[in-house]
Amino acid sequence: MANECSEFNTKNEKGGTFLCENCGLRETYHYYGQQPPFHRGVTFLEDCYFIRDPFQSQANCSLLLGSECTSCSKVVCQAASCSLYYSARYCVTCAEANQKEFPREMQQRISKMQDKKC
Amino acid sequence: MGHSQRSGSRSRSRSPVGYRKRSHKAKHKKKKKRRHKYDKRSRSRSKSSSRSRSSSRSDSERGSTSAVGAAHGRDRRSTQSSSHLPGCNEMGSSTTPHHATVSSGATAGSDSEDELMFEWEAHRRELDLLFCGLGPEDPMVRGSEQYQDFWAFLKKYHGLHKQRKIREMCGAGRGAGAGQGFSAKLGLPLAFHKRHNINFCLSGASIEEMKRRLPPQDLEEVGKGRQRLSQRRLEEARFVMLLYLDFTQRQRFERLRQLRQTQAELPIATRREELLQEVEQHGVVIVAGDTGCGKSTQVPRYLLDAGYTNVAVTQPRRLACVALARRVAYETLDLYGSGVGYQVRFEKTRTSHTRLVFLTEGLLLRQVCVDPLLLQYQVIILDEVHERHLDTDFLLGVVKVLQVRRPEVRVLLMSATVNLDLFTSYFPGAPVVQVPGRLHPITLKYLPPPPIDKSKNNRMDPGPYVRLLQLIDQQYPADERGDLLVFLSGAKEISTVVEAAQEYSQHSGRWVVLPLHSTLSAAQQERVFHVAPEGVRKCIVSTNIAETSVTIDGVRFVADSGKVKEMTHQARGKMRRLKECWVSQASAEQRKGRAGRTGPGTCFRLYSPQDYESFPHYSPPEVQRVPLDSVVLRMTSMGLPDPRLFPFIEPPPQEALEHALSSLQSQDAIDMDNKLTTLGQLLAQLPLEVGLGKMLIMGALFHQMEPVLSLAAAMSVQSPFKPHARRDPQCQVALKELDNDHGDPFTLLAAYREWLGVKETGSQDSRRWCRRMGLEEHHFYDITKLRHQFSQLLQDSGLQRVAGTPRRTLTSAERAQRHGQLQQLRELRRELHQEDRRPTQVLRIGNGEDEDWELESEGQGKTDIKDVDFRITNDPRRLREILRGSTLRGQDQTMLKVILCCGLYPGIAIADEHNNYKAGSEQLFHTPERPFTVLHPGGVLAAHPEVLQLSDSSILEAPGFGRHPAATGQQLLAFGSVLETHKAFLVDTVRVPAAQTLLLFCHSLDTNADISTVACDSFIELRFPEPSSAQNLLVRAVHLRKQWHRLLHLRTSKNPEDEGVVEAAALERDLSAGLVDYFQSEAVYSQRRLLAADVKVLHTGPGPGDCVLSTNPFTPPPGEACLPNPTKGGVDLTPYIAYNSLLDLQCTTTTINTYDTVCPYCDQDLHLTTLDRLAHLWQCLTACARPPPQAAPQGGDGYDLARKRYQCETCGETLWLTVREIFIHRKSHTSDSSCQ
Repeated sequence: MANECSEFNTKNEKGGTFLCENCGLRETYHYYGQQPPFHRGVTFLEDCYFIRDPFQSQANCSLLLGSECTSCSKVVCQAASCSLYYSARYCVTCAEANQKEFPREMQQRISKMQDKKC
Repeated sequence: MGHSQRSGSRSRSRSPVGYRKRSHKAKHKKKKKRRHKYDKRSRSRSKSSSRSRSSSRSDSERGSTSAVGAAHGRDRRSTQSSSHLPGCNEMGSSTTPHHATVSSGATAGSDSEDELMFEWEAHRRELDLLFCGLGPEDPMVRGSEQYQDFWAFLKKYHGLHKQRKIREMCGAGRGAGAGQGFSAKLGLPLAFHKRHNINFCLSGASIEEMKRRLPPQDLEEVGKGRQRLSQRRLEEARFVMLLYLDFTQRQRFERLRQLRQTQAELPIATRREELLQEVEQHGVVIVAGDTGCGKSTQVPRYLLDAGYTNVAVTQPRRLACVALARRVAYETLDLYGSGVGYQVRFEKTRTSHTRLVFLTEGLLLRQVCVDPLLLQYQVIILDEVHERHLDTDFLLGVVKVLQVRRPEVRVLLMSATVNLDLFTSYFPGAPVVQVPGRLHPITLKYLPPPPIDKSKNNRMDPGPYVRLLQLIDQQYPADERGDLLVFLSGAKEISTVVEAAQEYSQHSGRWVVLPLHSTLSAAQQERVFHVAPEGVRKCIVSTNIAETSVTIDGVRFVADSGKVKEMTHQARGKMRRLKECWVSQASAEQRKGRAGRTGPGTCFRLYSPQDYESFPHYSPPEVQRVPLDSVVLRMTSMGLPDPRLFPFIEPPPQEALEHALSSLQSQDAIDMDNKLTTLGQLLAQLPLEVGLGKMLIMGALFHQMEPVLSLAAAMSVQSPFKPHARRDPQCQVALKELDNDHGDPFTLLAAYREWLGVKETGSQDSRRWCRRMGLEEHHFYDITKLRHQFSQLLQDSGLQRVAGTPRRTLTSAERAQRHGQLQQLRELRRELHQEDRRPTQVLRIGNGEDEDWELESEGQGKTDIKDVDFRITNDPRRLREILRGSTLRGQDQTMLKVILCCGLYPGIAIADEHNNYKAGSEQLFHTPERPFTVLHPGGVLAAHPEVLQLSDSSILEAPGFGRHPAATGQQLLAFGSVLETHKAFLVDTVRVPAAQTLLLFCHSLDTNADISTVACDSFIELRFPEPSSAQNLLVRAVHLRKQWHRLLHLRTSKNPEDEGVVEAAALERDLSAGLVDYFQSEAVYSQRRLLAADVKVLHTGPGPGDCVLSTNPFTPPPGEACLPNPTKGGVDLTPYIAYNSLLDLQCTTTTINTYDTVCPYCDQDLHLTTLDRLAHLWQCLTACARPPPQAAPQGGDGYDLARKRYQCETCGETLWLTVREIFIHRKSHTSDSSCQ
């Protein structure tokens, strides 16, 4: 996967291929940034990879695939087992490493992530 | 990103107090105290909280997810349990401090009171204004599914929020005081707030802006004491909206992940790379995998992902195309795009953007006609090739040819793991990608029944099956679920076993016995999917329908009788034979596999392993079993020079192809050089049996479209008459009113018309009516559907041009009325469908009799979904149209008989000469291929055998007509098919006038010198005591045939000119009047079946006849010479008449004898030879182009009925004359110009 990585997660605003570096989920993305043109009225607080919502016929809808971990810059998907968002996106590895930094509620959640992985 | 924003959010969220989640135990205690007040809610909470949440949520959602498939539902439910909901403990406690900061105005006490009284529902209008305006930025649309979802979410949120409030009021303040400030390293806020988990904000939703959106409060509202949303509430609402959007984001993402995971888990996923590589390197790749391996959905997706475009996937069934296209679109995340589409007849979702299209095999074959190299496709996938339908085999040959001419095209054959060698040897060098199946282990047990004396009783012995039920009861504990599926050969065997098994189950109480075969109504079939109550097993007794077409989950035991009833079609003589025989090893395996779909299972084979070894390996493909007429016709229309050279994967017997060719020739679809005729071109466009196609074309030609559509549709579905109806005295009386003693199709039409009448007037429940009459209603719905399809087919193929009757459009008032009606009906249908989808209907034990069950559902006044569907597709006007179209008036019936004959020919049967002394059911009939057949006991003619017999008064004593008396009103039977079971039965019979039918439709008429004897198709011999009447009949037949060709030619010519249209209209009128009159005309003759011995000495054989030099009477003057027939002898007058070819020793006249007769047209005394007389008659006929004087002219046009419009070609005048006058008029011109 590593040698192909240059083709993935290109941060191209017009779209490309998204690859979660944690779980390997691979999808074609349609937009990278904070304000997907196909989902008006919403501004994201981080730069993310988006696709148009495949499950709804409504035009104004997006589906977030994932974004970069603030800490290690790995691209991770938004699945609860791959990353969490608390003020910023952290991949599961960084969250575990810095578990003490989070409030207790989040710590519990991080432990749950670990459980899931095992 | 982030830093500035993070600091921003930090400042917003900083709160003085932090509440910590209480322990579970404490929470529990609190609740017990409060139970009296909030009992419902707390009861659900007292369970494991996450479970109750997910379940109650899915309740509220059930309605809104209805549009999406079951798979979706599953995805969704599983996400819910794993995702975070509002009111999760962590989050709930966090909103409180938030309130404290913003609710500056209210005191603490009123706030909590307010908290308990507050309902969001009262503020729905305000919230709608806030979030569901019409602006493009608004997060949702009012009334949408999402909107309802949000409100459910909000209610749930508020409910949990209230509870927390109450708890707080009781023992507030405890457990507070987690961290404050920010963490050292990452700078994360230590006071947890759910909002930190949300990574987006609404663009246009600052509190000020939100306030501006709300209208000023009006006085009325103030008067009622209703309050506006406070700023705190506004913030709360906004927050809930964010939570909701975040929740749906996760939910949908989880769905996506689930989808990807399911895809990756399919057995085919492991072969993806291998497959793509093979496709790149080879022209043809075979993918073999059993049901459930995912090949049908995944392989097309892989190809799309790998960059292939213009992919065509064929399916044997229409429904599969639609369903698969939807499924694959969903899986490629393109449900709302048009990248994946389907195309079936009459329906398509294919656009120019479509990269992958699912289509039926028949449709791809049609595309080959237009685009022989299939240039529109880059990849062609043939799915389910192992089913080996006629079209599959045809397509396989086509792609084989295509592969040579377009090597760059990629072909994939997808098949079950059956008979792979056949495919690999057909495409040498094609790699096979094998995909493992997904079956659970199945234990196999052979339980051959002890040999029994079969001769004693023809009924099968249900003993072994009942013993099997006992065995299962003994060996497997009742609490282990798992149903039994029994495979038997036919409906009769099924009812035997069902009866016996029900008796057993009545005292054991552990079985629900259900039959399953195709003649059951849909509702009855549906019952096999219902669930048996706890401790009870289903015993489904089925034909081979459950082998592939119907998949029932939960089957753990399979009992296989090893028998199947197979319909074999004999190429010759329209014979179908329903025969019980052993299944093939392949289908025995398939039956076994049904036990291992949901878990490990057991298969009991009620035969010995030796029997199994003796089974054929594979069932014979369709191409070996059915008539090939339509395939050969389509091959010819594709421009294949010789169907005999087509590269079939398993060539059908040469004889079958030859027969198809000769049958097409005799039906006039191809000529002697195997080139398409005009009729053949039309027929090739209709994917129907040739006979049916001919009927439809005839119907279009003679403006009898509506009744012919009904007839053709009615004859293509199973008979709606219940088999026992004719024996049941009550039904018998009721059916009497429907009986039409002209034949089954007419009776069928009458029944259909009556049913439509019941539907139209709505005077009584049509289901009840049908039961009273002994009719199966669902067949009538099928007829209506099929009828509609046929009419679309005709439009589609341009045959409407042949008829050209535009439908009147509705007025605006009618349209409006209909619109409202439709809306109501659709609503009703939605409701019914929802009811239908009630997930599990539990069966009751012992509700054996299906009749009772149906009665019961009727008694409840339950609306019939088929009725609703019927009323949606057929507006009242259309209904009236069909009804009118299916009603026959006097002459129409004869016209329909002609049309029917045209379609049924060569299905003609002659009565046995000794029939007059036999009872109705013993009367024998002989078809050209199958002597000694009987009338089907369910047919109307079997109930009225007397109409087929000659009355003594009609018999004319004449010398030389002893055993075969000469009489008027001689009849033959035209039939649809011969069904062979224990006897050979004639099905779909119509009685027709003998000589007229034969002379009009036979493709080989051989006559003697004076035409007093005519041998028709070397099958029936007609003898006329009066040669002149035979000649008259023959000439008229030739004339009618000629007119018919001319009319067809006119109506199908590419650019119809006005003259042609006028001529065609006139011709049509003449011709239909002529045909009707011809069929109703009387003549005296005898008829006799020619036996094989007779046929041997029938013809004189080649040799110089004595009339070679004569001119052919049927050619325009001055006439061409007759050509001698090279095999039979005599001369050919038309392609179908060989004159003087019969060896007739009794005939005293020769071809050169002249004799005295009178011309029936001009009343002239004639003294001519036979051929000259024919010539005279022909001239008279063509001159007036009218039926002879005694013809009853069609009426109703308001002018003198005897006179007709006549345009004289010589003097150019348009005159209104009687037929006689026309002829005299013509003669005056000829005598003027030249003397004769």
